[in-house]
Amino acid sequence: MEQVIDWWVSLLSHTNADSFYLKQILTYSGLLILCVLITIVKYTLKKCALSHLLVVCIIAISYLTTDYVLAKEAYEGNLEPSLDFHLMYFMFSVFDSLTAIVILVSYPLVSKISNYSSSVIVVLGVLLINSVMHLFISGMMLFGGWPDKYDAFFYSSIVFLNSYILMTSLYAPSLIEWLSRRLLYMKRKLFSGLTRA
Amino acid sequence: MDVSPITTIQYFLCIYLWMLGVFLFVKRKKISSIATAITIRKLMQELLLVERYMKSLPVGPEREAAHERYVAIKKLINNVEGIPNSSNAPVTPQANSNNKVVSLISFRKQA
Repeated sequence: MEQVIDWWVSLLSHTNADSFYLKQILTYSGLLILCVLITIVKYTLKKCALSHLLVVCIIAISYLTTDYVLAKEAYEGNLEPSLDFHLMYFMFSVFDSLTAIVILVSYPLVSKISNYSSSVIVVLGVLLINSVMHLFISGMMLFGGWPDKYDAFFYSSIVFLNSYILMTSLYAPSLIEWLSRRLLYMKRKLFSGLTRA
Repeated sequence: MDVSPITTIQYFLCIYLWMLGVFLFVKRKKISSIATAITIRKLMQELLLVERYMKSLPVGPEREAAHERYVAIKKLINNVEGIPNSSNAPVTPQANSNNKVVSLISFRKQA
């Protein structure tokens, strides 16, 4: 376990132009752009709702902005851990919170059933959890000394996992709907079994 | 590590924004009901205007078109979730009262 943590932290600790971290961020941005294009095509073919297109566009704008700033700083070589490193995490946190607020306010006005679907609830949950994780790591940098490798592992693994859950709910909202229905059914089955016993 | 007051304020502003997001997430049902109310208000206003316009017209193709629009708006209102109509209204139970109960024994005695 110790070796896995060391490997993971060393993979993400370098933020220069050739690092895995930056390549991962650029791949994520590319997948987001592809997702926007696919959603536009799906919307023109009337296979998805306008509200889903809105959510995908808002998230793409938010993520691409932060990724652009990060990539620019990394290519210019300004992104080494310094006293102002926490500002990057402030930016991530503010963008995640603002994106969640914008989706929360605008989604029911655009959606036909004016109710949040399961995929949007997953997206909002991921954004809010990521936002608080950025605040956690920046708070550690500011008030609790520099984060050690366990903190870095905890933070980066949760944010990575969350980001790809977000991507799944953008690419396949119907899969999330199916999973939520399945979970609800299982919960009901379990609950009825308990009451009968 | 010395933290400047500006950085501390920035940090607390970020926390405040996150708390606002969580508050709105918890109150999402309220937001969706407000959105439903806004949609219904807009549709009802249009419905009233179309109805007034329709009634001012003589019988003819123009009135027919206005009537079609009127029916379409009514359909849109019925499709909005959260508005009770004949298809989704819950069945109300009938109230039982003692004076409606008939005793079979008293009927037999009378017979």
